[in-house]
Amino acid sequence: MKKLFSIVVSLLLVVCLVVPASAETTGYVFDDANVLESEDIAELNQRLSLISSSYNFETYFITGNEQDGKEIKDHLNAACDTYKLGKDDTTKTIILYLSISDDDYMIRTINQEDKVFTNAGLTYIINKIGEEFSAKNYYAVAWKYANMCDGFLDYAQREGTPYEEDTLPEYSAFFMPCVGNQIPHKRILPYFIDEADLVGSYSESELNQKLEKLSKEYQCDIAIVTVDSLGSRTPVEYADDYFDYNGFGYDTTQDGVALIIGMENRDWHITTTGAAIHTFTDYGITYIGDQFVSYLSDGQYADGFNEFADQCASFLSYEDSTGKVYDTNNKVKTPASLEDILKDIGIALIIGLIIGLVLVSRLKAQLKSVRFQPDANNYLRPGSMVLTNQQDLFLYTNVTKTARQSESSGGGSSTHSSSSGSSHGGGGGHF
Amino acid sequence: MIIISELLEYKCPSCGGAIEFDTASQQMKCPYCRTEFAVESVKQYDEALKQQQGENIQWNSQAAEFISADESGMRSYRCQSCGGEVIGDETMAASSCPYCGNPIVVIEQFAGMLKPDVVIPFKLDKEAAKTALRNHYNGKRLLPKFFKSENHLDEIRGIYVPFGLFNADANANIDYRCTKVRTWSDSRYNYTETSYYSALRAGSLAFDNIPVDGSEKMPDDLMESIEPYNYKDAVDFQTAYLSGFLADKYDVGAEESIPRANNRIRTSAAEVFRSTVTGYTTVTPTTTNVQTTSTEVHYALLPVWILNTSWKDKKYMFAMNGQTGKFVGDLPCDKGLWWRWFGIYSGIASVIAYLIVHFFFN
Repeated sequence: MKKLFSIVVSLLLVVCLVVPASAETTGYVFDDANVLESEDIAELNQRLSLISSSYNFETYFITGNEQDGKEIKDHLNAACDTYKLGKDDTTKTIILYLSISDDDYMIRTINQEDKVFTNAGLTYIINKIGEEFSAKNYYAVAWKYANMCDGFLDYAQREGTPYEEDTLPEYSAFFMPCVGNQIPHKRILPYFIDEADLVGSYSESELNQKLEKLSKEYQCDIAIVTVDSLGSRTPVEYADDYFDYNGFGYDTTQDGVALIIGMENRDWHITTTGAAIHTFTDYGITYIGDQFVSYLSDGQYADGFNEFADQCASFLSYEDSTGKVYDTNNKVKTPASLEDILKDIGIALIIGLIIGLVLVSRLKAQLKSVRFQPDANNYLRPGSMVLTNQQDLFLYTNVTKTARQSESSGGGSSTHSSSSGSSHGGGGGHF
Repeated sequence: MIIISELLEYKCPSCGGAIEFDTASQQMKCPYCRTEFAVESVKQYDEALKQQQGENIQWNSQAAEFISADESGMRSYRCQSCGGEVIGDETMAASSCPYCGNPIVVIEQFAGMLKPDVVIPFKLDKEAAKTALRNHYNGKRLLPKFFKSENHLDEIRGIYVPFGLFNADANANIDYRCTKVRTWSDSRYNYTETSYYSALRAGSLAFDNIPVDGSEKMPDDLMESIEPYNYKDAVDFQTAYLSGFLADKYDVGAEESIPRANNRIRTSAAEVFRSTVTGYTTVTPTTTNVQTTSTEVHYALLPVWILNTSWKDKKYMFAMNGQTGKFVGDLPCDKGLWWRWFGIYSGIASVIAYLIVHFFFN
């Protein structure tokens, strides 16, 4: 009896030892290097889990910090062994391994007979996450990786052929998820992205810094993205989705305003979330549009974007200092331009001249007293007026109606829901 | 031809001098002995005189339509330059034409004129006319500064102007197109409801004594401007009233005058009937039919003071209603003053307009 009891206990002990060891593995994310928050891990796990099940392709993200002097390849192998990845011959797998100790990262694919990820494709993915890795923004690295995997897998499924060297798209193709509508809770892209190549690299980094600074200062994300084509989305949808699916919306407040430029149809659209919906009313959006769109029309994109950023900052600053927002009943006061002043003077002069003419004509009329008498009222015999026929006949009635201009007299911000379910405001136009 | 010898020359019962009609007292007043007599008295006295002298008076009241001249009585004066004619007695030294101011040269045979039915005697005298002229200048800001002091009063003349007084009945038949408009709004639209009506009015009006200028030379608009006269003071015509004044000849026939009277009747009728169409937003006459029938014509001499002045080689004609004192006459306009006042008014108005535009619309 004692022997049986001790065997059972030992077995239980072994099980207990083994089971907790695998508690660190949460499906698809293995953060051995401890560079992610538990919130991040749960989120990423959900994303990768959906991708894996949708495409039947296991997508993994692993971080490691092995200080044993071995190469990154060896570290990855060890991880695969630990987590039993790719141990059979059928499960299609892709793994992104970040080695913090080696300050390097690599991707391995297993069992993909009909290649989804070609060599060119893998190189592409590696390149696209380089900056974020250098900046140690591992959260963004993971999300971008997930989005690209999603995109690659979706393309292969739709087209029946993988991305090749000559068919690889701009990164903007991976802005939005192909499966699911999960919103990252932290920002994964820079404030200024110029996919359509409208400004030079110097301006690009300048704008990026400026937007970052302003976003922090006013606790409201201000972002700009330019793309060649909006794909199948309308400007409103694109702006909202870009904003949501790339985690914009300032950290603690989830407020944000973003401008998207679609060059194909020369669309511009501003989207707002959170408190920014209130700050940027419909009137405000139109006003800001009037200020910067002319720069875009003239091809001076850098100036236009700077103007947009400055205007957003000015609106936010105004609200911070006065607590009020610019709206139809509280319009932005611009100092009167020379043109305006001249126009006012012109109108006043014309009115003055007309009134002056009327008054002086009355004076002149004083001089004239000789005129024909048009009537004979003085000679009407009193009481001689007899009305022999008095008839009032109704003929017909006509009703006309004109639509009232209710929008212009309103004010406030109109809002709508985006595909992710969040509420957005904003407006746009063409240039 | 019927000769009536009671012409303009009457003898003062007191001193025998030529007695004249005095406006202030409305009586005959002798300028020599200052005694006043009622018109009737002078007439009777004169009649008595005549009877004494044994002249025959033939007076046919019914056909008393004409006054014709006796060599010892009336004179007809004709102006060479404008052709205007006035009639005056021998005592009237009509030295210049009341119409154009030129000296009258020709004294013609008085050929007779239509006898008026009534006359309104002069109530106001020459001094009153001069005072009225001075008052006429007051308060006219655009009058050239020196007009008042420099204008030369050429002539003031009291003239009895002949008028035809027309009585007429008017029958009117007028159609109107009227609308009633109602507006209201709801949250989405503004509504305008227009109801169309047709209104008919027919009836009659009567007019008494519409005056029409019977002298061709006397400007009609000038005469209409000094209307109205108060016919209460109208009396049966006596030539006595004419002495001391000029009289104008009737040279516009009744047929010529009637259209003018009709025009005025038409306007009045349209106004009166239009005022019966009430309760609408807009009223527009579509067909206006006014038929007038002249019922009676009376001939009247109405008192007018005519003043001619000249200034800077331009002549100005003023008229004053000899009964009511209404004074009319167009005055010149000083262009400089006009521009100055225009500038002042426009300047002030522009400044105010600019302030309003600036503060209320920005």
